[in-house]
Formats: sequence, structure tokens, C-alpha cells
Amino acid sequence: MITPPPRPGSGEMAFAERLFDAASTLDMLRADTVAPRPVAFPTLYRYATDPAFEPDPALPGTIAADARLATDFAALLRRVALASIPPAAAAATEGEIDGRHAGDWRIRIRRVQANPNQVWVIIDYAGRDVDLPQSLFVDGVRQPLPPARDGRFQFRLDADSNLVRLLRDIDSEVFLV
Amino acid sequence: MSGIAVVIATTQGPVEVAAISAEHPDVNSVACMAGSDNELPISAAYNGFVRLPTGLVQRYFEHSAFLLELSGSIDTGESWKLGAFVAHALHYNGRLARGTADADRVVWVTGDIRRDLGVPAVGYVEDKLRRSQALFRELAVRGVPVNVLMPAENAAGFDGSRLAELGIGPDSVVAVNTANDALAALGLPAVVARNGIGRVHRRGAARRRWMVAAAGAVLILAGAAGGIVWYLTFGNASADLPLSVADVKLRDVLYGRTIHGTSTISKRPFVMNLLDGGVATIEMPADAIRPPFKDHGSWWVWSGKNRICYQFTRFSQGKMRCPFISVEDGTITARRGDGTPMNWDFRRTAAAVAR
Repeated sequence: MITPPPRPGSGEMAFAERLFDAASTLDMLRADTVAPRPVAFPTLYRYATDPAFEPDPALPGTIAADARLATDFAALLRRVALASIPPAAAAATEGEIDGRHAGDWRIRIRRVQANPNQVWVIIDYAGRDVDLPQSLFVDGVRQPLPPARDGRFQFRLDADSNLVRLLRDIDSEVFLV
Repeated sequence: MSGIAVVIATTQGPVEVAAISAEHPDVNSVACMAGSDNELPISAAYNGFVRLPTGLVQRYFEHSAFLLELSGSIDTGESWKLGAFVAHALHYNGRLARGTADADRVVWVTGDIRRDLGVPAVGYVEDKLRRSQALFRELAVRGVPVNVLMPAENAAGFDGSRLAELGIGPDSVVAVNTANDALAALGLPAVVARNGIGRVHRRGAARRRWMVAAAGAVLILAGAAGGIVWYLTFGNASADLPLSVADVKLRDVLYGRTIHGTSTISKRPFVMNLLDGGVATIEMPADAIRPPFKDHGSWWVWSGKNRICYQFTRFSQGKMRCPFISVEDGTITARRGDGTPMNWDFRRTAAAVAR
């Protein structure tokens, strides 16, 4: 037989309410001085796997700013991604790159001639698998992918955008999810 | 900037060519609204219209990738192609204006264009003219001359009074039998219709033409080699070939079956249904990572090859696949080209049993 736990008395309930109020007030007072609360795993998971999910706009920055969170998120992406391009495979040269290649995937960045402030991002898939990715992640930053055409995703981005900077960074890891 | 502006006629109204920019050859050509990153529905067709082996633009104007910016959307159809071709000819000759606002002449165009540069009749020309009357009035007020280019077969259906009702002077209409009729009307050099890379009569470009011709020859040879390989693999995998008795037997064995398999890379299970009339459907259930996937396509027996072919709109990137099929003691097995068995389980459905 299962015995239900004893119900708290009115005095205990009042004490708990005061304690909760005090903790909330302390949280508010310290809000500007303490590190942000950890991001819940379900939020990270939806961000990684649901292209329609619109997270807090600060989430990519939060991930980038927290080394442990970034590592956990990268581990999550490695589990769910259809493909990843690790830093070591990015290119043979150091510094900025304008292309990446790993397995059946190739990413190229080309300047938009019509608008020097933009670049084309071209992602080609030479494999035979059924599923194609819907999002691209680089260091916690997500880019929804347009529909593929003959195994190619192509879209334009601002040349000075964070995502382009990360794609050009030889040390960044790219995930296609 | 002065020059000639191109207006592409649509049943929704006139659409101006705002700009054409040559892009890096790695890029697929894109048609978009001016000032927007969003591709128009005709963008994929535009890429095919530009790039060899099918593209006329690369054939005659020496470059394979462009960004075409339009003032409005063009959703479907083929009658934008003659206007796009004329716009590329003007761009190639440095005479394309950026829209009608700065143009000292406007050319209104409707028409498709064949590979031999012929211009067949198109539909809804009168609707397109009616939809452009406000533009014609505005240009008349500004004193900007207009040329109306349409297929000769369509032009034959308009007499002077009909054109006058539509606000168009009979001298404005250019009846176009071939693309060169359109170019001649604009004082542009003709292009020479031929296979492979085309030629434009333009002074000072001889050396470049030779280089392009050489590159074209290499492309054609590479394309031919690829074509031979493709043909040897899939070239006669048409669904329309006559079937032998064995083919029909195989088709009847497969009809109504469901194929249960697993994606080789994503490890997702799928169920493919081989339905009547050559219709195929495929489904993959949602898993912890991805939403459910559904697609439709077609299936058929490859005549005389003991192969089943299928092609979906998205599954397997929309590519045709033709595994070998063998039936032994009632057990159906699918194999890849190298003979290795696939993880396909053919199951009977009520439809298959009834048959």
C-alpha cells in the first residue's frame, strides 16, 4: 500500500511562499550580474531539429559564449546531423576559406557580382541518399536552407554576416541537419 | 543611363527587366525580384535557359551564370524566354537599360524560343497587351518609342484597327519568326544558330570566340562521353518501351506490393507502395529527429532488363533508380548494379493478393 506524503501545514506553506518570494527577488536583483541560466535541453533539441522552431534570438550568442554549452550542442548536432564538416577537413590553408569539402558535401562561397555586399553560399551534395538537410549550423548559428534543386542548395547572405564569417573560419565545424 | 529597356509581357501585367549581372560560373543562374533575395518560380527554368547544355544564353553570349532581376513575378509558362533572350543580347552588347524609367526606347516582348532559334506562337497575347495599356500610355506621354515583339503567327491575328484599339501603332509591331528577327529590329547583330556554342557577329571578339569555341568543344566532348555512360546505364530505361511476356509477369508480381526498406545513410525506415497505373508513393515515419516524410512518383519495369525503375519528386533527390529484381520460389530480391542485395522486403498487400 502506498502512503501519501503528509500535507504541509498552513505555517509551512506560508514559510515556503516567503522563501520563494525571497529567492525570486534575489534572482531579479542579480539578473544583470550573473551568468544567464543554462538553456534547457528540450530548447536546444528543438533548435537543432525543428527548422520551424523560433528560439530566443539570443540563443546562438548564448551557445557561443558558453564553452560547455557549445560543446554539448556540438555533440547533439553530431548525433542528429546528416553530415558534418569538421574543422580539420575544412581546407589545407589557414585563415579564411571560401570553400569546404567533406564526403559527398561541398560548400562554396562566391561573391555576388550584382551586389558586393553579398555572397552566394552554394552547397552541393553528390551522394545518393534520400534525406536532405533543412538547416545549416555553424558554431550554434542556424541558417534555414531553401529547397534543394538537383542536389544543390544556393542562397545569398550578407558578406559581413556572422554566419559567413563562421563559414569562412577554418576552425569552425559545419553541420547539415 | 540610356539604352533599350525590355518589358516581358505576362497575363498579370508587364514585367520589366531591371538588371542582368554576370555572376561567378560556380553559381546557378537566378531570376529574382529586383532588390530581393527571393527567387522567382521560373528561376530553375531560367538556369536551364542560361547554362549549357540546354541553355541558349551561354551558347550565344559566352557566359554561364547570371542574376536576372525583374520588376515583378513571372510564375510559369515559357513566353518569357524570348524577352529574356533579347535582354541578354542587349546586355551582351552594352545596350540594356535598367528598366523603363531611364530608357530611350522600350521593347515589349512575348514569345518562346526554340533551340533552333525559331519562335513559335504563344497564348493570351491580347490579354497581355490589354494588361500593358497603362504602360503604353505612360511611354507615349513621355515620348519613348515602343517596339512590340511577338511571334509572327500571333501578329497575323491582329489588324491595324485591332491594334489601334489596344493603343498600339501598327508600325510598332514586329512579327518574329526567329530570334534574329527580334535582334534585327533592335539593331543588334544576329546570332548564328548551330549546335554547341553559338556565335555572335561582333567586332573585336574573335579571339575570345575561339577560346569559347574550344571550351565548348571540350564541354561537348565531355557531355557526349557522359551521355554515353548515362545511356549505357539508363538510356533505354523508358517507361514507354514495349514489355515482353517476362516483363509483364514481373510487373504483375510487383504491382500492389509495398517495399519495406531502410535508408542507407539516415537509417530511416521507409515504405514504398507500387500502385496501379505506375504510381508510386513513399513514406518515412517521424523519428526523434525528423518529421514524417511523404513523396509520390512513378514506377515501371525496365523492358528486358529485369529491373524496376522508380523516380520521385524528392526522394533520392528526384533521381531515377533502377535496381535489379529477381524472383525465386516466390521470394523477390532487389540488387544493386554490383549484385549486392538491398535491404528491401517486398510484402503483399490486399491489392496484390486480389490481382
